[in-house]
Amino acid sequence: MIEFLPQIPETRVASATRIRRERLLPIPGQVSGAIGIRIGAQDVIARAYPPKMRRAVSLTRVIGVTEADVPKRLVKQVGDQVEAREIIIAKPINFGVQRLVYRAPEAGQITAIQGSWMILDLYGQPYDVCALYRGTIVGVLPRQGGLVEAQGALIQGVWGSSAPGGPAKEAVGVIKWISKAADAVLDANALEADARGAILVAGGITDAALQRAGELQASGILVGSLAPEQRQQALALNLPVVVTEGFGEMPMSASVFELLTALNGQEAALNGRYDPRNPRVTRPELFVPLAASRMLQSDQGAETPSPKVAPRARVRGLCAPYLGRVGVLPDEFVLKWIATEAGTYLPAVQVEWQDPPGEHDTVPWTNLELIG
Amino acid sequence: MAELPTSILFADVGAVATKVGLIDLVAGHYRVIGATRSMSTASAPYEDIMLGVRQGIMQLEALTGRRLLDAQNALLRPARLDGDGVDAFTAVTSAALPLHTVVIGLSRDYSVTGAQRAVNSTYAVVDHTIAVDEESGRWGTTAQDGRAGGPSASVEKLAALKPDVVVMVGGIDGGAVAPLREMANIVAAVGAAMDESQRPRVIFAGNREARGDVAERIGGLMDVRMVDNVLPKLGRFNPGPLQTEIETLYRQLQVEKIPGFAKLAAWSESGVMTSTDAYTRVADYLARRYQLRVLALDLGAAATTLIRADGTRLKRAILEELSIGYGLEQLLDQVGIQKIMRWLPAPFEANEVHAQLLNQALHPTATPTRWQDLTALNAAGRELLMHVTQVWRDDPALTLMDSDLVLLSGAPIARGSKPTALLLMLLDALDVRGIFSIAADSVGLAPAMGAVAIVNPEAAAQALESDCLVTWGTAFVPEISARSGEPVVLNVQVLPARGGRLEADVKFGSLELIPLGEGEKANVEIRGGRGVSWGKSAGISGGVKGNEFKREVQGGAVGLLVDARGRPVPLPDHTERQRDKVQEWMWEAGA
Repeated sequence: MIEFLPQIPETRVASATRIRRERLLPIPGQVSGAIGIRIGAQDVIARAYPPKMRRAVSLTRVIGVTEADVPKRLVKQVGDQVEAREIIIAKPINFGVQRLVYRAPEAGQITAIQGSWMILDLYGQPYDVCALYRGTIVGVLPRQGGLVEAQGALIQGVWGSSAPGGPAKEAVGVIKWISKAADAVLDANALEADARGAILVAGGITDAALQRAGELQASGILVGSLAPEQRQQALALNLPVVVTEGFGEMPMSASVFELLTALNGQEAALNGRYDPRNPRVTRPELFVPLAASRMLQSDQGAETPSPKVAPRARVRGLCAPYLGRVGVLPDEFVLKWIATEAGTYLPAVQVEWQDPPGEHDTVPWTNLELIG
Repeated sequence: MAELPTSILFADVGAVATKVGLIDLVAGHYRVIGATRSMSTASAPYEDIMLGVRQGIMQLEALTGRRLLDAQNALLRPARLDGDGVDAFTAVTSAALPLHTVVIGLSRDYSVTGAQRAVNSTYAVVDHTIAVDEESGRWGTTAQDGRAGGPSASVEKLAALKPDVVVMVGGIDGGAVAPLREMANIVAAVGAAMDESQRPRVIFAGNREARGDVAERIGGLMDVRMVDNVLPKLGRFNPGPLQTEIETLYRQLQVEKIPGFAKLAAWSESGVMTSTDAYTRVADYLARRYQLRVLALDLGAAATTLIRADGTRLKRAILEELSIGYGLEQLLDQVGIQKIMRWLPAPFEANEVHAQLLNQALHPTATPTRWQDLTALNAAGRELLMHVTQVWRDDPALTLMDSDLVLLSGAPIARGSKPTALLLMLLDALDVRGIFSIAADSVGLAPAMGAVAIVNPEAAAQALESDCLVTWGTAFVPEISARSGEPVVLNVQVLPARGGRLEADVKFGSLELIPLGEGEKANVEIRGGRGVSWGKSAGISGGVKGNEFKREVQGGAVGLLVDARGRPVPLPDHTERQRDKVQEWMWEAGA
């Protein structure tokens, strides 16, 4: 018997909670929001102007001059904006009759000239960071972005298709259950034009439906599970895909299914960022803001409390054969050592499953997480 | 001289698990009197590693009945007469994110490869390398026939990245400076184009004659650090100063930013070491103490570490982002599921194994409880080891073949795999030959002993050998010529010190497990048939004459394992035959 209960991971699946999320630009820019301002999910709170491309040019080589000669041959200087085809550096050739020139390939700005090297930033599209979470700006990080506080329903996923270092994949859309069953697999045939702009929700999804969702410009996809070979397909899609349970054939867990069913048809934000090792990155998640009227009235008392290790606490299995199953801890419980099929001895606790109810299993403590 | 602390509390804060233990004197001998493992708490919603540390300490209090924290959750220090409290606290950590680097140098074969090797021995990832000698047209195309030249794709790639550190190398000391000036211009231009808050640090580890030029061009823009040349003379590789500087930056930029790190550091008077530094000290200690060539492996949840120590030289590689936990996703991307499937002894569905490994990456704290899941993880472990040991393939001065002791630490042990299963994993994946011992860091505390040694070396050594390391036994891996043609290649006779005699004929292509318990010794005589040799390793450790071996060896938790499969391990090409062969080897090895 073990008296001390070590911490276990937790996943928030809450109908009402208050969250704070940093909304930051990838490079410094301008922040338009201010503390205390109410914002909608699609409101821009920060904007940056990343170059479409950074052109790196050896000025000595492109026109054949020495480094010492570069300053006197430059037609443009650091900080200058250039139009497409504008001359940046030139030198006379053929006894001064002609000039050898290097022209800007596109419009841009000269951001650096160091000795013989120049960096020319070609203008790209402005990059906007929107609030994503409808709520209030409670903090501003100058030139970086803001901190948004929001109240609403939250479902944290276990995996998202926005990988570290890649573009942020996030979207706002209306939750759309195509076939309401925790284990229903979404097929391409079920997707019609009204999928455009929606956050498609299903237990699983076929390869064809993943592709079709991209073609129809769905806002995002939230599924219980993905087949392992669909991971690369999801990463390649230009929309957020969030998985709530894991990889393989498994239905959406009862807690997630119940809440999503209640939220069907509501506007939600889907954030696909997934970088589990980075403590600054929040988990992939779906967030449904409370209606504005309810937000005004709500207080912390109405919120779903954070899950804690306690009798009747809801838990979810993290490892086969219980991966994704949801149950509760008994009224009185202690950890007991059990021998597993693999021949290991692990501290474990009895779990009363809720999917379906009435079943019990003794599950290693490290293979459970709190959910709620 | 100040009195050394006798009761020492230690913590190892990893990316997934936090281990806490207590060392004290028991009958005049330092022992680990209790240890716990809890979840690390660097990430949300906790965002404070001290929560996990305190949880571990509270578990330890429950386990030992000794109070270690006061009412304010501060450490009770020093130890009291009633036994509560401790004299010292030490800590190691591997919870920080790796540094991202770019290596830019003059020659791919010399400076860039050398610097890359140095970076790989630290908690850093090389995202991009530029070698001047292989860039087409060097730095972009040149003006020709009245036409202007073009941009440099390679520099543009550098400009598109956001590394933490740029490592500049090139030239031997006293060599030409002009190409390095050009490199400095490039780095300066790329840095100048970035926002000041995002500019990388620069380490220059090239021709020392160029330092002035490099500082002049880059110094005003970025934080530049000058260290000794990684290649001061042709053929002389000097990675130490570059490694040290990267480690300094790693501490400043990543380790000190771990949520709660400052509180951990405040508890530890001797500072907080990285887990790999501490584990390296352990490997070095074992190499010196027993005059062994040690290959120490740590298969962590977030990174994989290889250390090679022989008493005079130390070498290590840290593979960030490839691991048996979080890094399984990357491993699957790099080696593919089919390579992992070939090590499975039963007809598992590739999709199921693939899904299980991905789910383990999502939940690295989980412990598989089914045989098939542990077996799949060990199959992935084989491919991981085969993949990561490739980092040393281009180092002629280093071979894994001649190791006397292979030491395993990390997640596979924590997950509770049988020692025989893990020993077979090591034999399948590592190209170590000859006669060598295998030991395991059975409770995952060995790296922490490297930090304990700072406050009390004797305590660390005694606790390490008494309570951390478990000898699994001795492996016999002869080299067998493919043309041997004889069915029986080895005749093995074992004379245990306790009495009795065991004899076995080992056929080519098979394994033989001979029981010899922990602490037991036996005289072993092995006669090899035609085409059998023991390689350089056995020659050095003694007992080999021609193709025969005769010497006293130690037993262990596994015993003696004779591997007559030849090297490389002859895995059949056909899937079913592969499966049968792997099953056969598992039976033979008792795995």
